[in-house]
Amino acid sequence: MTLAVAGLAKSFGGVQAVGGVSFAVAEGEMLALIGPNGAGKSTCFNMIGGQLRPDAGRVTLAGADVTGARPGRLARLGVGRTFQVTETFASMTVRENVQTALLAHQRRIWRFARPLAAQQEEAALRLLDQVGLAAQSARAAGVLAYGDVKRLELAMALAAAPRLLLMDEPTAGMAAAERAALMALVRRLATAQRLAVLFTEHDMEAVFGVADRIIVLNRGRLIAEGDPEAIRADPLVREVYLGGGFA
Amino acid sequence: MDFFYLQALTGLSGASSLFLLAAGLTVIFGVTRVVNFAHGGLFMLGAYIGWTILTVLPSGPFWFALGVLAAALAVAALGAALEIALLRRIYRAPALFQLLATFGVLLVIEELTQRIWGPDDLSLPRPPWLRGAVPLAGGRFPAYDLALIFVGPLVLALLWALFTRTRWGTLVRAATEDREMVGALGVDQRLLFTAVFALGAGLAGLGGALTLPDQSATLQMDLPAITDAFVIVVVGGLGSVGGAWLAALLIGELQAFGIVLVPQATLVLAFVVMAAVLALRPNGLLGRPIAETRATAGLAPMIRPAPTAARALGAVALLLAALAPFWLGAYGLSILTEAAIAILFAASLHLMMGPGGMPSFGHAAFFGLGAYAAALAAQAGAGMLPGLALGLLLAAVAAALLGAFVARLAGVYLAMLTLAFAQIVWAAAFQWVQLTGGDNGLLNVWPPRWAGSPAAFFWLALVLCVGTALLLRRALYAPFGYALRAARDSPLRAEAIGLSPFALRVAAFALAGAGAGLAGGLFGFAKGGVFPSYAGIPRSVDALLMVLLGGVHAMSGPIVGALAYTILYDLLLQVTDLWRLVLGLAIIALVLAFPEGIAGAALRRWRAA
Amino acid sequence: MNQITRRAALAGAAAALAAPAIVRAAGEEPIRIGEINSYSAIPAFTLPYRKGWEMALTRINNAGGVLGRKLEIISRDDAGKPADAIRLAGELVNEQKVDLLAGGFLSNIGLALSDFANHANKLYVAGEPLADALVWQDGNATCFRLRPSTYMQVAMLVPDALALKAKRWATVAPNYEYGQSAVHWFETLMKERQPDIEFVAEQWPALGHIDAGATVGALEQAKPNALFNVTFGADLTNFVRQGNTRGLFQNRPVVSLLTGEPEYLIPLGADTPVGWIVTGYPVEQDRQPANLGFVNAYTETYKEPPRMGSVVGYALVFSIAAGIARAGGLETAQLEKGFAGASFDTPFGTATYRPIDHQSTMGTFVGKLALVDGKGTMTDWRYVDGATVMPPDDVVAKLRK
Repeated sequence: MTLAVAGLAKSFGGVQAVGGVSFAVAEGEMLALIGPNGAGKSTCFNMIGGQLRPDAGRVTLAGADVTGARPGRLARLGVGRTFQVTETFASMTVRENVQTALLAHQRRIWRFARPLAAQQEEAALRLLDQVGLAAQSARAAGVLAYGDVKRLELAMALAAAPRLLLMDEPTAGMAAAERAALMALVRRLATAQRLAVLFTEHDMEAVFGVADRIIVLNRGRLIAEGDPEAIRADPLVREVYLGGGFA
Repeated sequence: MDFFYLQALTGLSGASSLFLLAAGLTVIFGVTRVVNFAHGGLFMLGAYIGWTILTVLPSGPFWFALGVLAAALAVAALGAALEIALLRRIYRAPALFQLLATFGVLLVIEELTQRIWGPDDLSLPRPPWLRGAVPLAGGRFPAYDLALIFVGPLVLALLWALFTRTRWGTLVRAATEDREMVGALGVDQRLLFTAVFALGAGLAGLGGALTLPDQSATLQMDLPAITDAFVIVVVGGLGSVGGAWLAALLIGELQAFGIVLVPQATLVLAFVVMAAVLALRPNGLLGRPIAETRATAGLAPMIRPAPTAARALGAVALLLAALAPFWLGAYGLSILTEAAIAILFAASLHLMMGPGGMPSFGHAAFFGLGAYAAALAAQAGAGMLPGLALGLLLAAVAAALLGAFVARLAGVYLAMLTLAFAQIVWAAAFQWVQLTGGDNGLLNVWPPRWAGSPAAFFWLALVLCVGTALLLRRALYAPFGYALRAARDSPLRAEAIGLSPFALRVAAFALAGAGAGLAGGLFGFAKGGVFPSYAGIPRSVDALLMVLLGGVHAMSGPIVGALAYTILYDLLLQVTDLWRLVLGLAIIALVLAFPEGIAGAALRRWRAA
Repeated sequence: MNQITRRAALAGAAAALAAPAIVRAAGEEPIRIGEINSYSAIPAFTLPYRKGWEMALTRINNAGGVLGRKLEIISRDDAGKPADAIRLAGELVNEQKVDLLAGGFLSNIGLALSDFANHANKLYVAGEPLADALVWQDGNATCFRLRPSTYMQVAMLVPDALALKAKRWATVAPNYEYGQSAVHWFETLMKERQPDIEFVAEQWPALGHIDAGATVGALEQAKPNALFNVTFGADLTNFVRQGNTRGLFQNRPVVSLLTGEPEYLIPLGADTPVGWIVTGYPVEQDRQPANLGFVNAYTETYKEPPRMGSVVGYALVFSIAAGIARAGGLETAQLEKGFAGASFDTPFGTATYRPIDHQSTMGTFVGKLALVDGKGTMTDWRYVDGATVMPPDDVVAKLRK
């Protein structure tokens, strides 16, 4: 198992946001984490991604214990991350963003002499090509269309040749056609590079289209786990989350 | 016990004065995000205008109150005019840029005040009703000061009512939280800002006028006022009027009792308190983290290699400079030497402020530390070059330590803590007379023979300063520079790719400190002496002005800014009595003409062409 | 008081001028004096000061100048910053080719200019800077100082302070070298002569930033019998108002430096603390011929009475003229020899630059403050010649190392 999570729990001021959540993600597998608002998805995500310390539970990455590890350490251990509100380096070009990510991964960032422009150019372009941004490599990251910013983020996450990709609402704010395209891209990459992907989502089309398995949270507890068909048919899930009206 | 009560009351009275001074500044900042350097000047104008009005009016409490209010209104009107004519045009400029404009305004106010009212201190004659004392706790407490104790809470209550019970006040509070949203709701932002500025200025004017029975109106009252106001505003929390009141109370009382326990602490007390409060509550007592306005967050312009034409120009300038000893006399060389040192000083601050995203109001601390270390080492027999190296090292270490302390803060709070640190360094230099010579400084710090002639020292300064500045620039184009900017643009993303924003910022601090320390050491040898003023607020302001003037996001900004400011200042000082007026107007003109700074505008034109 | 008559002074001046003089080949070129002061930073002092030296300049040039040449003064503003003062001194020496430097107000600038001038081998005549170190610990061959120093003025006040027979004293002084020095000397000199004296409190308000109410409270709490004050300017006005209202000065004599000078006395107005023992300048009250002539000429020229700054500016230029005349030439080595021991006219009579430490013997007035028609003035005053309050020569020699 690339990622294994056991008994994760977190409380805020006496209110338990997440309690006793356990699951695992295998190599090349895309696992979707879904649930209604306030179910604890972001809290879970942030505990795995290092932005929050769990009160209890363990997180293991390829067997190594990374419970409570800070994002920087996780990045070095091979975890890529994208954020719900996209975060890129707006004062650099698209290519420079990726170059920086590559150099950071290679521990070559504490260099003061040679200009960055000439370093890791080709590797950056290859990554951009993978996400379909090669044509825009010289544009400022701050002026990209929203969908393209998401792709850039993905490219940067991939720069670390990660084993695990954490994606927090990857299609948030995107138009319908773009969403499908992005998730298809992630699917291709996951299979080709044998990446484990854990993602949260609100858009059910995106989820059911690409997820290998789905886990459902409600009020901080894991209430269902299984492949898309099983989840779609689960009466508890329907009651709590999907409600009527979902095709 | 009697003494305790009397001193506590004295502290309360002082707190009222401090509150009036600071309330206006915090209101202005809260809404417009402008750090209003001219606030001290408005306070001063309140005193002078108040003096004029009150000496004309008949005597009596009613007339006094009327006169004071009239002065406050006059200053409020001036504030509104200032906002309309000047500040309104530069709200979109990078953060802290407006600081420049308000500094220019302060210079103009200082000069005009002297021209209009003359050089003498103006004391308001005190009629008997203002001289009265109330027998209290075994002593006599001035009746006026007693009345002042109530003015503070009264104004606080009025402001509270204004902000919570009126529609206008609600808009102001909303604007404090989210400017863009208020604009999107169809509120005329411009009117709102003007009104807020007028209110803030009026409060400053009121504070100034109310000091008249106790103090004279003097031409030097603006600078202590602005530092006091800054401290109170930051301790209370930027934008929080209630916080300003609490802070004024805290500092007023601490000062009243502090001088009994530690009389020599007068120089640093307020700053130590500020540092302590910020260490425990990084946003001040009642402050909240300052929300970045959507427009400016993450919109730092790209840094690209300078266009070939610009680089050619730079090379030519450097060549001309290197040949300067052949076409300039000793005095001209001394100005160019100062300019070279200023370039390094500004470049080191720019690294922190621009790419590093950490504004500093106290950069002179490292300049001063470098200067003193170099001078002391030289006097101990180490020689000039080892002394310079030591100065660089000491400044770098101090900067790294300070950086570790403040790197987790952001924006103006970080800037204020650096100011506090610089004041502490300055005060130490001032008071540790055995080591530093106090304000008489360390003298006889001349370069050795081989570097003693103006030409030789100039070349040394040129090589060391411009060379180091170019090295710093190189670092900014290297992976480190990009990582630094990454940490500024998005700390979240930076961490996610394996960077440590904390380590990067501390490193930036250390580099900046090293540069400033080397510049300071060279400055000491250039002048033959080292003085506490090398670590003082005016010198920090100089560095800030140079960076902002050149353009905080342009790589050649500090060079252009340093050259422009040094030459402008040196020539003006020599040529005219009205140098403050001319310099102030020049700064204002530059600010209006080049909202991204001189280099920024030039580069933009170049690239567009 | 010993005042040399005008006739004797004139005779002395004539003798100095008649000394063998080297007349320059370029005889009509003026002698250039480079003058630096903090004009924009301290206008209350420097504006009357400038009027004083302009008047002196006109007089000297109308009377034929010095060594057959006119005097020219090139003046610069250092904005109160030592770094700028040094740069401007460089400009004056290197660009304007001045023959000597003069001026200064703040002690740190005076010391910096003195060091610079020494390094550049030019004479520097300091007018106002009061720091003792200027002629003692940091004294050098090229620096001369006109005004009575901090030490001298404190020493002038000591006899009156002793006469108060107060046991418990408190001091209040601005928190920088001048204040620290003044308090140090006062405590030292008083303890020497009155061993049972006790200093029960010291207050050190930041210069220009006094918290007067709190300072008064802190002093009151120590219950001293007498006070020694060194604050001046806005701090003084502040302190006096609070002190008056809170009764700090009731039945409590105060000895105060410089408060009798018009620059500091006038702003006090109706709040002038009556009875304070001060150093100062009683302007129109001193009817001695030298002062009377000066005051009348000044008032006629500028339509206002002179201030202490005016006296300093005026005397400075006269002292320089006398020094140059006695030197007979403008080489710095000649000037050094000429100035050391040179006697010159001042509105307070004749003074001399002492050879031992280059300090001039110009003195100042000691008296009490009084209130007349709502304005402060001095009363019971007397002139104290600087020469009478110097430490013994061996002490001076040691200080000057």
